[in-house]
Amino acid sequence: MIFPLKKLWALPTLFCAAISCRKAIDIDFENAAPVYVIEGKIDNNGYCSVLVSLSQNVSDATAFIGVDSASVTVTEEGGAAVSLRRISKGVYQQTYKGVPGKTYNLAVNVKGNLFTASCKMPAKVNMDGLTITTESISGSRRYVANVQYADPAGEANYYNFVQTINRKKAGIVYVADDRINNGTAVTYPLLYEGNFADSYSAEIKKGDTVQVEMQSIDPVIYKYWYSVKASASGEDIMATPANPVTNLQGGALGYFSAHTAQYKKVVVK
Amino acid sequence: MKCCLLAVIVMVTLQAAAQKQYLLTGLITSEKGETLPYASVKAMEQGAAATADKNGYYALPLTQGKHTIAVDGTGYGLQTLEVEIDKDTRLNVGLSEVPNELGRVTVKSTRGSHLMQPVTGYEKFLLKDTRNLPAMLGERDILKTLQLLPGVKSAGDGNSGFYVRGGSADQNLVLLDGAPVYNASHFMGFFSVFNADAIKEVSLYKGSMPAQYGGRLSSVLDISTSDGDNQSWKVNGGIGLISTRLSVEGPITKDKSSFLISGRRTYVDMFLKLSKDSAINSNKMNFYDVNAKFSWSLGKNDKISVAAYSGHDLLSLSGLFNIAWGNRLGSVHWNHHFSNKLVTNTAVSYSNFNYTAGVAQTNYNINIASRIKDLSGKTEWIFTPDNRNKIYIGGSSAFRSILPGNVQSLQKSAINKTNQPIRHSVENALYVNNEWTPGDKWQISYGVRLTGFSILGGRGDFYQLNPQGHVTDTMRYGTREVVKTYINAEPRLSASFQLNPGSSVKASYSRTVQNLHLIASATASSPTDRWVASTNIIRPEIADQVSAGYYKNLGNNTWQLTTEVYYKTMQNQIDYRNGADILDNQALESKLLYGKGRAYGIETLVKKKKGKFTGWVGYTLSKTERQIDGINNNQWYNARQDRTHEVSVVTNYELGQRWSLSASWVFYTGNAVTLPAGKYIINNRVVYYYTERNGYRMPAYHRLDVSASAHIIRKKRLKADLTFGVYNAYGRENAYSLFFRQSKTTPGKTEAIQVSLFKYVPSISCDFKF
Repeated sequence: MIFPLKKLWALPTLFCAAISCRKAIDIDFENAAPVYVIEGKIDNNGYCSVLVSLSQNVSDATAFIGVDSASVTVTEEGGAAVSLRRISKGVYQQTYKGVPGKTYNLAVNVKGNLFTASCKMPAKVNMDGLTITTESISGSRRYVANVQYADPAGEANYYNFVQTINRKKAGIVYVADDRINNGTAVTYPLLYEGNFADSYSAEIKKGDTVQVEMQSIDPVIYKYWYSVKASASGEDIMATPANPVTNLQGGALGYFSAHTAQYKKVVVK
Repeated sequence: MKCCLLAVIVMVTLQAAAQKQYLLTGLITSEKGETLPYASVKAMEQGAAATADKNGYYALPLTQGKHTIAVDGTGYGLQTLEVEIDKDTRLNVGLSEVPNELGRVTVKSTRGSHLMQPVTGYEKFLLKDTRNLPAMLGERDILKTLQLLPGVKSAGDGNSGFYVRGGSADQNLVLLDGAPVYNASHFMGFFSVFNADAIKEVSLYKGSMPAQYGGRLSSVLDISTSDGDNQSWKVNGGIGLISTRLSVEGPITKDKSSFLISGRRTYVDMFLKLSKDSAINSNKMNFYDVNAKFSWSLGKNDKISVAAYSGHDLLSLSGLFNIAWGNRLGSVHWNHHFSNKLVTNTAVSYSNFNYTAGVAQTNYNINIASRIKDLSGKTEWIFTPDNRNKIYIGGSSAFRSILPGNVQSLQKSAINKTNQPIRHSVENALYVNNEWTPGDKWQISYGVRLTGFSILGGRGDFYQLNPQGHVTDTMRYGTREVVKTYINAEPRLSASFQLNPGSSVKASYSRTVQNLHLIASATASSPTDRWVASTNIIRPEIADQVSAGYYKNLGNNTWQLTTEVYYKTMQNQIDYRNGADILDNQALESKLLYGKGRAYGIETLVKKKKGKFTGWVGYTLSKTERQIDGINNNQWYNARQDRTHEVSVVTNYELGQRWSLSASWVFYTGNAVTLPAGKYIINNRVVYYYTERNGYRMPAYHRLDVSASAHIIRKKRLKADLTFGVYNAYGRENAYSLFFRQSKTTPGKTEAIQVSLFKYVPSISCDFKF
């Protein structure tokens, strides 16, 4: 999947934005019983982190409801289980370096519930550059970060880009595949898609420091991010809402991703 | 009062029959020479009656002697003539367009087509009957008028898309002069492609469609364009806020042939230019339509017509992307009378819908093109062996090709071209249907349609999937090699029984089959919606519907009451799997889920058809559900378009000679929507937790539209009307959609935001005719 095709989704949204009016309304939400949420990551730089939390009611003040007393292990295929240490409420970490090509298994045991997941760390695709361009978007000039990389031919590659502006994570999901640019030198623009709700949009200004983390991700994780974006962000007025497609077994929300990570930084001049 | 029939009456004597009973046959047309389908013809003294067919052809059995014949063409009122018959006689009747009250003859129209027409769930109207209804931005839109009828639901505020009796939007067969229209919308669905100036009349089958029709589950919307005036030249036009229309019609050879050319061009982007915001004023949004029709009468027994349509939309958001789409349709019809007992209609039609979507950015320059193309032929033989039977026998064949989306790029972009293979398919149908009148009170229409659908091989892959939807085998077939054939028989049966001169009951059963599916995931019509044919995995959709109704005419046909109930089941309904990436090149079949649907309801319509004050009130109570394994924990859930209550009130009042006032009001239960039951944090952002599909309701929808129209010029050669209107006159903020965002003012608070589209949309338009 490449970004411009996805933009087609935004089109009716943008059109509606032009002619619509919006107002906050009160909704009597159903309150589902809290469920466990696991966000597990292991990369090739030694960063291994698992967040364990509970979902909350929509009307509650948004907060990370960390869960203690979880036992968390990550196991490399054919290797021994590595336990993660509790760092703070709901945060479990360990310095543990993943190896591209290996499959990792996650096990989280919390209050008698066992959640597991398995994910293969893909081969690393080198991040060649990060540049800022200005683009005309609906008549206004905006700064856009562009990531350069050479997509390897002969295999399907999936990427996740995490953009940080002045050390603040923007929260927008940028994922890409190589469906139509397989084996080419790619310049991928992190273009905000213009959702109605701009809770996580952040405009880049002159003088800002923009950092992008480029991850090579497993197809199941691509699917996870894609479905978060398409159907669970609450912001797309056109999509049918649904829970994201997870690789976790046992009924928890979230994901477990083994990915390669690289970072680049650029100051907007 | 004098007899209202014009002198466009041609009498032709035909071969005499042996009995004392003779057949009066012929064509019913307007004074312009346009055929009037389904007009009713009745011999006043004898009580014999008949209904003309789609081509305006009628056959009325009469005994020897003098008769007063009353002809009722909907919208033309009742008109009468005297006829003396002593042999089989051909009589073509031209009805005056000026509405006339019936004079000395009192008619108890007990066999009006409304009561005795056996088909349930059938609606028909002439475009001119809807002339005065309020219209958004002054654009009269036949699809929006239909949405005011019970059982027909709008796809959204201001949207021309519609749902019939619980079916989805792609389950309506939309025909323009017999050619299928694959995308009937302009401008993100806010206008339909049907230019009101070019359209003569519209038939909607929402219950039991006769065996002549097929290919879609829910309904058939059969739209015919005007033939053009074969007497004199006429120019019609209109200037509105968003569009200008112009039509020219006239005889090619007087009495024998005619043409109509009609065009419409919008200029919405002109309004965008008024905005100071460069984010808005640099965008482009416009569309056009062109309709053309030519008709020739070749002798007394042949009529040929050629119809064509072309429409195109352009929508571009500068610097982001542009989308263009359009339909091209063409058809040739040949209508031949072998005798007064045998008539044939043969047609060839072509339909092409294509869209391109492009993006132009510094580093990306890309276009996707997709297309659906259809060439079909149809022949129908209508045999009237006696006055109790009318048999329709026909067949059709369609060759269809679908290009799912080719990606192309210009220089500078590092994009690989992908050529998605074109999929070809063939759909054949044979049918027979008999309209049988076993007695004075009974009418029964029964028939069967046999469809054979084959998906053909070629460059594209076909798959085998496991239950998880993963591809286990990929297969290739040769060009023109049949991959899979589905044969289905679709029985159709409907009957009417007249209880007394003013009322009747009807019942029907029908099965319908659909081999072409619109895979749509957005909640509004979107350019990414994709038509696919049935494959070895995607099975034909099948629906079975039973319906029954009670019909009553009151006050000498001034009032009409219709109540119908229906129950419908649907098989092989399609939806996307959660998280399906609809644009990637994985096997489409692996991204879909299949299940079933059911819909049931009761529809009531009270219509006042005559007098200064006309209009109708419609009410629908209904339920529409789906059950698809993999969605909503495999439990039944409300379809998005499930709306429990739906009310429409449409009124029109003639105020003196000059003014006409009109208003319509609609109310319906909000759409079923999926709302979160929880939230959590992933990657520093809020993600929502859902427990059930479509378990909530949007706020109820209601809206009042008003319009006033005045005859400003009424000269012999020039007529002009000025129409003022307000859409959503009391400014209700109806929920088009809901979304959630993090409050900027109260940190940590999640806000539900309602998006509304149209609030007080005023309009002014001027229509002229000379």
